[in-house]
Amino acid sequence: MFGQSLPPEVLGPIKEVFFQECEELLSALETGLESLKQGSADPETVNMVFRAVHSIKGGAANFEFLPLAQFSHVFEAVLSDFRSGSLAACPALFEDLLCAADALRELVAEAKGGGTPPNTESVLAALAAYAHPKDGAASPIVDHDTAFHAQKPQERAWRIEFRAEPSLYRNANDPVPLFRELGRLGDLHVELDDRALPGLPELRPDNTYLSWSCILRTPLSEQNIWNVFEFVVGEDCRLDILPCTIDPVKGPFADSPRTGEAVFTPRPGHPQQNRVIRVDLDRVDRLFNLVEELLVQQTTFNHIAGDNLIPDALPVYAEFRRLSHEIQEGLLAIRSQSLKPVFQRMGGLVRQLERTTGKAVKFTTIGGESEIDRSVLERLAEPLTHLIRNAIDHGLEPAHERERAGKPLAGSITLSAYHRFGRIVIEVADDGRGIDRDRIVATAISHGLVGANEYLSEQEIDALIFRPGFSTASDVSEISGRGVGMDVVNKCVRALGGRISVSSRKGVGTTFLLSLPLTLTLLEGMTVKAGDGYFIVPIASLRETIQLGSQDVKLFGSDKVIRYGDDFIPLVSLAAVLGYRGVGDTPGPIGMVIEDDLGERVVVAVDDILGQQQIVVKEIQGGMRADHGVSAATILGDGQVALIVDINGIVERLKPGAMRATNRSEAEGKRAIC
Amino acid sequence: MLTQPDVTGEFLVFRIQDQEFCLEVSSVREIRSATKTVPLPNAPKDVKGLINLRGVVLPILDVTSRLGLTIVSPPVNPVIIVVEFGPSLVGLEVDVVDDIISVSEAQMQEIPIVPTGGIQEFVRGIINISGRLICVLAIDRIFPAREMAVE
Repeated sequence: MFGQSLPPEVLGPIKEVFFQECEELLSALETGLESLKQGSADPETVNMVFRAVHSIKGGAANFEFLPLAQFSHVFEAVLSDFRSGSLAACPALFEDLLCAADALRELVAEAKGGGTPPNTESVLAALAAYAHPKDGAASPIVDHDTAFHAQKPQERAWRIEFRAEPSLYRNANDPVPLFRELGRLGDLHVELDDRALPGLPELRPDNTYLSWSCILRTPLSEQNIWNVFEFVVGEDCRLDILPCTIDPVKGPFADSPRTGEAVFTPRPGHPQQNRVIRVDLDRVDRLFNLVEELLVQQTTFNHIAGDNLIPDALPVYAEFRRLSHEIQEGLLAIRSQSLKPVFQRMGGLVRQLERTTGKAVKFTTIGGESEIDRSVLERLAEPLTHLIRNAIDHGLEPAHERERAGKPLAGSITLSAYHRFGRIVIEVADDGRGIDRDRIVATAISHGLVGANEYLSEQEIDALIFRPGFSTASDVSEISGRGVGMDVVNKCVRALGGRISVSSRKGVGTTFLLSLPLTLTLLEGMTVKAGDGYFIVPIASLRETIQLGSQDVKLFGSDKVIRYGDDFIPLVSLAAVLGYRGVGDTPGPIGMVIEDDLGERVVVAVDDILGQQQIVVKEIQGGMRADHGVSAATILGDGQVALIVDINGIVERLKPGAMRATNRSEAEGKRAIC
Repeated sequence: MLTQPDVTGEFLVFRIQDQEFCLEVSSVREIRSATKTVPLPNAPKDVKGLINLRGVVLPILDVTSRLGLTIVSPPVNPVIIVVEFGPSLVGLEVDVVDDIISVSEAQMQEIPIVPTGGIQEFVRGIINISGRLICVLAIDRIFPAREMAVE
């Protein structure tokens, strides 16, 4: 037991490792249980699920986290019965096991951070109901052999002899991916036999001359190895897979000629236990900050000396720039994490809400393997939690209503993610009752958000739900609350530099669509000059840049509007709207048509455009978050600070003024006439 | 018998308009000469603007204005004291940096009650060294981030 014998400064880091492992084990446990629930009968999944709980139990007992150890002991006993076949698979069992996994996660969190112990009684009772009458299936709580590492199943060695035939290449196959695939199954040694390779004059490019001998050590079955060659067996190759013994002294290739050796490592993105190292995130962040500084220095250097370099230095400098950008990208990749943990948390939330609301939910996730930067990932759980709560609470109808509508009794919620145009798109879709637009309009009128006779398109009506303080829930629910809802989600998403939109069909369902940047540390922006300062306008919000011809600019009272297509939209000077100059000042000659997340358009006038580039976002120190108009800053090539314009903030700033109201009623009046 | 002098800490002394102030040395990161700032829209009035400190975007506080001191003669070469403020850094613009002093418990005094006030809320205590009056500034109170949040 570590509890008594080790001083805290030694114990601390060991505990840290244990909790990191718990995180991975819990993740594996949930994935495994989900796939078993979907009907998978893979014995390896069953083993993995069992080992996950077993390992947590071992560590918990070592550190004397007693509630955690006791709970995992009961949990393990049920899994053990399931593994041995004495407990039959049924949907209810997996529901209970998933609940137990949720409880286990809470217990781990409690062991890690203290706080109030979760109530696990009902879950324990459910598990106890499955307990094998004879019991004793689970191993004792303290198990030194397996305290930290999952038990490794028996490894076996296989000799794989592989020779490619010409038809393999003709059918567009390639041996290299096969070896990579093999490498994922276990420890792989590959030896190339090129003895059949003729001299250059005799070499025919469409013939094959190479064969490979592989030794694979793996806990998996022979069938798994055959599966790798699924698409090439037959005429494309000669293949032998034989069990073999490995001479511990001479090694696997003791009796074969050594002509060349290659060890294939699995591709990144498919981490194997031994290919992964754990690094403190602070260290990565520190490195990341250094690289950012390097990039700033490089831009500064370019500004000062870029044009005056001697010819010999130019390629060196180009290479230097390329390398520093590659380092930056590499680090971004290191910081990237898959969405899976967040998606799994949402799975837990759905199960919890099923219990509290009594609504059955079929929860599906798609694209959880998509990766985004940690800076975005960390702040994603909050908006998603709101959206899922809302979908279950307000979106999905109660069972009797669904039955009447001829829908499956269990409501369906799908959480999906995919990359599009360098951003990540996350969708939360339900098959519930859809948005009741009549009720939204009625509420909006009663809240004074729109006039009683205003004509609104469906899109405009849907956008109303993102307004602050808007809530149509006729009964106050403890799950979604009242008044805090979509506007909070909208705020979260906007703070991430993202956009949210909604599409809905009455009676069919509602889909919320979040489009988010992959990282918060880089931004594609247009550098502009306005007043005495430099600003960055995010490309994502920029529709177009226009020359401000005087014939299109109209005075509207003491403000200006500009004809843009069929509409008159407000024209403001960027410097003025940020409070640098009086509003009456002459706007610069270039107009940037910007659009906020709600589709509101404004033309901001600037003096000059300096160019488009990827900039490094720097937070302003001292907790200075000017909410209105500026989101952060960056450093330009000459070392000057430039402010990043917050488009939503700019549009917000115009709201109390006359310009926006004028534009709106004018535009609406026109639409009503048409 | 040798006894350890009753030292409470080391302080960096600086001057604004002939008044002396100080900060704990441990919170001071560096001292540099003042440079042109980029104004930050809607910032509290005592925040002069932002500077680039080797890649860090640093807000600069005009301490003179923050403390409500009247400028009799503008400083010739104002300096910026970069201090740690919670997890981040801020810059304080002052007239002149003087020296570092070691101060014992006995030299620390409570803030005197004065009729106009104003300055008290930014001062943790005063130091009396052979008749010199040195105000110990409280960084957490002097930097107006919290007021920003309220706005």
